[in-house]
Amino acid sequence: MSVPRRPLFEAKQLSKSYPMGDSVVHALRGIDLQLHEGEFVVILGASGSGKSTLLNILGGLDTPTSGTLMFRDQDLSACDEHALTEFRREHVGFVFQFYNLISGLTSLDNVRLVTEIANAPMEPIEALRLVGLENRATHYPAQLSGGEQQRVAIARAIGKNPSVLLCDEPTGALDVKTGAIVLDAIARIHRELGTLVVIITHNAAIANMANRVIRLSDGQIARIDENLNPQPASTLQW
Amino acid sequence: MPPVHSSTNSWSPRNIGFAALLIAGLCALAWLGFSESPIPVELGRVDVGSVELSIEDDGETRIRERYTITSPITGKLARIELHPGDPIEKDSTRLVLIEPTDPSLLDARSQLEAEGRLKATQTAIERADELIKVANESLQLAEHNFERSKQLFSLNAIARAEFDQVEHSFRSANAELRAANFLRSIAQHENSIAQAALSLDTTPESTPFEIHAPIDGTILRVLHEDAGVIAPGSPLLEVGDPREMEVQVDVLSTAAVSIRPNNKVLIERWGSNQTLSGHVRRVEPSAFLKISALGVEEKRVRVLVDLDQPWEERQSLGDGYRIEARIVVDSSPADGMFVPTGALESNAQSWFVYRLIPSSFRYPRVERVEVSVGIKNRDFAQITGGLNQGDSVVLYPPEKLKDGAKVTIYVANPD
Amino acid sequence: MNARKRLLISDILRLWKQGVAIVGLLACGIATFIMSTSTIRSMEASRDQYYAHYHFAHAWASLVRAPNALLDRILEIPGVTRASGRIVRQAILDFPNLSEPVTARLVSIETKSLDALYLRKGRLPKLGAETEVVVSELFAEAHDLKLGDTLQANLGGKRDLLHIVGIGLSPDSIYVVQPGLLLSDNRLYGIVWAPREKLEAVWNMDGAFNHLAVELENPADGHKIQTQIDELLSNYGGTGSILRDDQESHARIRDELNELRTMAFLAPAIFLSVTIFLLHMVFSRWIGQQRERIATLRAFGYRVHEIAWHVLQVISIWIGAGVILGVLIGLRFANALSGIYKEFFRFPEIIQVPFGWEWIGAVMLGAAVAALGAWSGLKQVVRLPPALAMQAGNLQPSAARFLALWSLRSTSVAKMSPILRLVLLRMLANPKLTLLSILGLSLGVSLLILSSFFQSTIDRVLEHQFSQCQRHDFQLTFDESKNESSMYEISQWPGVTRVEGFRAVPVQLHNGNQRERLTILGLDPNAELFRLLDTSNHASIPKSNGGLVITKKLANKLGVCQGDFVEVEVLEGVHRRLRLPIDRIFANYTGPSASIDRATLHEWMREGDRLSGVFLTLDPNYRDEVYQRIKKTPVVCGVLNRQATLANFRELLSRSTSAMRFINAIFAALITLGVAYNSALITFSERARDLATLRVLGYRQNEILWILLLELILITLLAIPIGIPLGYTFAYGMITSLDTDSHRLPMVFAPSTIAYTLSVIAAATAVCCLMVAQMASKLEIIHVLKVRE
Repeated sequence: MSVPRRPLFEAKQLSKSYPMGDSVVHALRGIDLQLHEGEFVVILGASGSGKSTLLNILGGLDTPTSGTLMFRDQDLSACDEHALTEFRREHVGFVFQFYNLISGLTSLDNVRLVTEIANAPMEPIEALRLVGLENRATHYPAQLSGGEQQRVAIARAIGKNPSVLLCDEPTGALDVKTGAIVLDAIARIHRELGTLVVIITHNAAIANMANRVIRLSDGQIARIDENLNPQPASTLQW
Repeated sequence: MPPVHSSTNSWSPRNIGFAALLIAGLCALAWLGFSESPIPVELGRVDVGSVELSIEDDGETRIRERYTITSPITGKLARIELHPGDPIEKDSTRLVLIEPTDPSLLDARSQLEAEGRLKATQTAIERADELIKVANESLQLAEHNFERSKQLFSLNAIARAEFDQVEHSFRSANAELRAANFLRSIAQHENSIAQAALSLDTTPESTPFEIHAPIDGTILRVLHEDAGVIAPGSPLLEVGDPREMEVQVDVLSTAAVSIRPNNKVLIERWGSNQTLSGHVRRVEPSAFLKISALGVEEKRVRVLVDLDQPWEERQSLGDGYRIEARIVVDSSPADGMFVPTGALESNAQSWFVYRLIPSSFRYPRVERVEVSVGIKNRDFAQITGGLNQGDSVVLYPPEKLKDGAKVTIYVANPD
Repeated sequence: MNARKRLLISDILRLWKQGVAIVGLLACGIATFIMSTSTIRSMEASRDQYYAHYHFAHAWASLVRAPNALLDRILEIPGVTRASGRIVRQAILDFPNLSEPVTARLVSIETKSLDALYLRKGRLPKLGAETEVVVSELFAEAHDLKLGDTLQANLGGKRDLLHIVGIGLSPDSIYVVQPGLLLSDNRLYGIVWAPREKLEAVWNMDGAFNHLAVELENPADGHKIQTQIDELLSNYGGTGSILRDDQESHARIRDELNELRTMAFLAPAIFLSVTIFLLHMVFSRWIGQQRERIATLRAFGYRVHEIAWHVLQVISIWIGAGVILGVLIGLRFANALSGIYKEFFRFPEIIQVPFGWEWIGAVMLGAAVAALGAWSGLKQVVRLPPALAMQAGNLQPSAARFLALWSLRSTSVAKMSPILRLVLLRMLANPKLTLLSILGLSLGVSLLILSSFFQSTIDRVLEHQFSQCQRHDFQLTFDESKNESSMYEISQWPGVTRVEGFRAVPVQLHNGNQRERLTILGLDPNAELFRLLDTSNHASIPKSNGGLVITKKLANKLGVCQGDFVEVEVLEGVHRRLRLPIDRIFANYTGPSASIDRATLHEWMREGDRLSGVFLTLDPNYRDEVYQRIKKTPVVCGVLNRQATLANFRELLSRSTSAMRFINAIFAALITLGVAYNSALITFSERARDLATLRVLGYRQNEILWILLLELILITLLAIPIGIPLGYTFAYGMITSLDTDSHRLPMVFAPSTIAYTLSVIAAATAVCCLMVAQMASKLEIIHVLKVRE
């Protein structure tokens, strides 16, 4: 359900192109978009559609070539590297396709890595509880299954109480059953914390979980659909 | 922004603490490592006492009055059984026995010659008597002056230099009298010889010609030992009075200018551990060339020294013995301060010492103090200003030593 | 170019930074090796050729005077192939622009003699109205003398003008040092060759000689023949013959070459060890990272040896580059090293021997380094079964478990920041590699300690010898012993403060089979200007009517203890044999020596008070006047100026030690940079993914940098307490190897050594941190994250 609130993110004519050899690649062409707090957004697109680029720019990892991106009152497109890092530090939680946990640290330590640099974090064990892995706190990633690792990664991402949770193909490396558990965890967090969740994926089935589905094609928004009945993860099939 | 407590935040108290510790550590390191290390030094003391300036050289003893006994006639000399060092008594010890052989002594020409000689000796006796009279008078005057000066000096009414001069004159007068007496004895002796030669009898039953000792003293040298025929004038013996012994020291002319009559002299290394003392009688006015021990031709001046000790205390000291003489030409007051000479350092203008600044630290410091130096000899130097008694000074300051340097003290000879 | 070659080149280029470090360090090691060994060979070859062409003798003897006919009898000794007699005397030269007196050794020019004169410039002297001479080359250079210049000399009590017609050298004076000194001062001492007739005339030596040189058929028979020579010479005032080992010039070269040999071993050993460590580190890591690729290739059917060959090629190119670079640099600097030696050692020509076994040695060393460094990496390659490689590389579980257990036990560890734990974990995860890094760095530290330590130890010895034991201004030596009046005479020279006399008697000490030839020094009891101090600055004063006071070195050589008696064979004048007790043994820094109370010595020698020379101090304001007097005093044939000697020593030694310190600082910095930077590089490349993740999670750039630096700093801090004792151990080893007959160096622990070491290490680490910062700033977050591990 859409809630009439001030947008958390507002992109206007967001474009990104970069040189590749002799030619230029236009990853994004004039994206206009608004993302609100508390939304559950899925960005769909094939590979090369520009969804990863969009996620990177939203997460402050990259700057647009032209256009603006506002986060609340801050113009991210005009920020320098340092300011973007601060933005990321405070407001963004990231979940990667390949988990990217630090292999030498326990689950709890991996979460602590983030809670210790945050201004208003939650208790690390709380974060683990939120994903149902509080009793695996002292285990190392090597001792966890793929799904459990991803859930720890999610706990790590939300440990700092971010304003937005960005997930890049979170189930891409998992099978259906495990993937459902992970998506469930994400849904739970969305429910209990009310964080804006943005998932990018090429898997259309996931879109049924979202409030809004944004389809990207060839660097532009092809369609935006509202979903009035988001489904729980367990019902998804792909 | 709400306060952060994370340790990964760059400016957290913990990190600032670390940084401060690191900087403190580096500073301590730099201070420890590059601060000067203390320089090892040896110390001497500033003491109170007199410093003597003396000229050291070796010299030799000489018996002042010596006389060679010669034969007045031709004859057969009996073997001389006397040896150098044998004591002789005036008129009683028989030195020489000659059997006259030459009848030519009886002819007229020889007779005239002998008479002439006799006359000469008589004149010599008269002259000697004159000298004795003059010497006696001088001595009386000098003695009187000396007694008076002794009293005045004890009352500090006259200067030391003047007293020295009067004492010196008294001593000289004594010596002059003794010399005059010696001449008299010799003259007497020659007179008797001449008489005996004149009344010579060459008959076979005649008694041989004898020569007796003209003075009390010792045989110095035996010049002709064996029996045989000798001609007149042949030197036979040398005799002398060892009581009249002086010391001759030939010093460099540059050194002689500082020597004055009556300077105290210490005689060492003459064969006994005892040190003899004496006084400079005379510094001869003319210098002569002498090739030194180092092979350099140098101008030397002869200094004559009278011995203080009577003959009884120095009987083993013979004639021509090598001795070591130390002529004291100057000395600083007994209440003055001195330091070991090794403590002194100098530039073109003045003298410096390094004085220890007492402190409770492990490594005290030294300060470079300018001092004024008076009399300096090989061991000690008189300090006329700049230091206090009891100060410690650095001996033979190493090249590295500077004003304010840190030192560590070592003692090479603990005793 | 085929794919494989392209792969090879791309591999090499990718690792270029590590490659630079490895090649650089290897080159340094090879270069120092080549430099030292090539210099050694060159000097040995030059020396041997010189000895052969100019007939360097096998034995020498000094005597008072013997007729030339005696040479025939010496030739009759079996084993003697040639014998030459020369006239050798010392004299003072008066340079007009130098107030100091200069001492010269006058040597007669003989026809067809041993130790022949080599003329560098000019001609041999001819007899005539003027006295023509040849002077030694180093001396001529020190005074800028040219052919045609004249020298004022005191010859036998008379002043003479010498005309220089030639500049030359002889094999027995490759290294010229004034008797009584340790180091040469070419300004104040030189050799002058004069026609025999001239020296005969001056010193009344017609048809006679006072210095013998002998060539032996078989040098091994030296000792036997020595005894026979000594017997023959004993009636002519012979003071005992010496063989090559004791000849000052030969012994000096020998000691110098030995030192070079030690350096030729030590420095390369350090570098090559570090290179091996580094190669091992880099290589194992690289192989580890390439597992997937290797596995893929194997899966495609590449045979093991084909892969191994590819790997070997990479290594060979590095090693090859290092060896070639090292050899080139080494040869280039070998010239420089020889050039430095030219200042002290003079040969007619320096033979350069560039080709030789050094090349092979260098290649072998390189191969050894390659083998040792790459061994385990290659093993990995060989053993890697294809399937295993497909798994993601995981941390060794043992280390992780260990740390988990540890953190359970200790709450402080649990509370430790995860970053710190991460760094520690990484270090513990592969202990071998961490240890290698620490050891590599500690070698750099030890190198700094070694070179800096040298300075302080030499300072101590110089200070002991020239500020504490010796305190005179001059030591004058007489050509013959003079009586004590000479002392009084000198004490009366204006400006002279204190004079102390000494008597030096050449003797041979015997204790059973042990013998030692030296000069006994007779000293006055209250001597202040020359003292016998031990290493703790305690003085030993020879007792009046007592026995000998000797140094520990002498005691060791003779095998005697305090209270023992030794036989003393007097080699001067009447050859007496005395039996003297050893009153006291003390340890100092110089060679074997024996002293005795001077008056007691006179009694034993049944001579009066005779002096061989004096020590004197003077008032500096009268310095020039005293110099003038010395120059005018014919019997003074030698002058040693303590302050000039000390300054000369300091200058010579400080030049070489500060050069050494500088070079070693550069080396140590290179080692530190090489090891630390490489370690950081490896961490960076291995952990790029994690670091990128952290950046994404919001970690700032400087926080990431801190992670990299933390490991670096920890390794450095750990290397220091290992490197410092290691450095002192090397120093001790070096001192022991340098403990020769003529000197013994103390172990001195000075804070400045440690401060200097830590400063250089800190500076190198700081530079390394900057380089790492630069590297870290290039972290491309997105790119790294996108690449599959």
